Amino acid sequence: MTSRHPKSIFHPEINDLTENERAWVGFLRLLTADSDPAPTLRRVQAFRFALSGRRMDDEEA
Amino acid sequence: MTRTRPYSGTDLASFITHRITELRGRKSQAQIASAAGYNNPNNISMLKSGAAKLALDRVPDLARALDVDPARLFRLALLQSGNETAKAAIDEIFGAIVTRNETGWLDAIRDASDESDPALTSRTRATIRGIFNK
Repeated sequence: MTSRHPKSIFHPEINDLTENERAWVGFLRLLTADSDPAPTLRRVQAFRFALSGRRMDDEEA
Repeated sequence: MTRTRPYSGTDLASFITHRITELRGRKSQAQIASAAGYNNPNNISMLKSGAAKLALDRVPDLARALDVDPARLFRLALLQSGNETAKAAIDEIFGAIVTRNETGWLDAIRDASDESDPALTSRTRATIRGIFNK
């Protein structure tokens, strides 16, 4: 099966991810005790800054 | 003796309780109950306390009312009503699901890395721990 209805609750599957992406998801689940945290704007911004080697404080200064 | 809260302590009861707390100030329990198709807000209280289990056919509406991933809620509802044998099967089948929030995180990772499929390094682990204060 190559296409799934985007509204299906079965749409996203772990097997569709790359090995690295599975590691990200696994770590997120472990860290948050499977609480499924939302990627809020603040969190995503902090993450993006960190991934690019900067800190939000640097950007805001 | 009849147990009055047979589902207390289940992951679903904890999850709903936590989510309703998060929504406090934005949505009342009565609004959530109404959006989920319950006539009485007390139905939500019963789910929170574990006095009642969530019927599977309520999952889509309640997921929308709580603004949570329906797949996650469905899995929790299945686990709530299953025995240990069912739990193993449910974990094997539904544990493979990536939730809506996880998809959002993956989108952020892909976007921030220009689709370079970055590995999870010790530095990025520390970053994520920092974001969640862990």
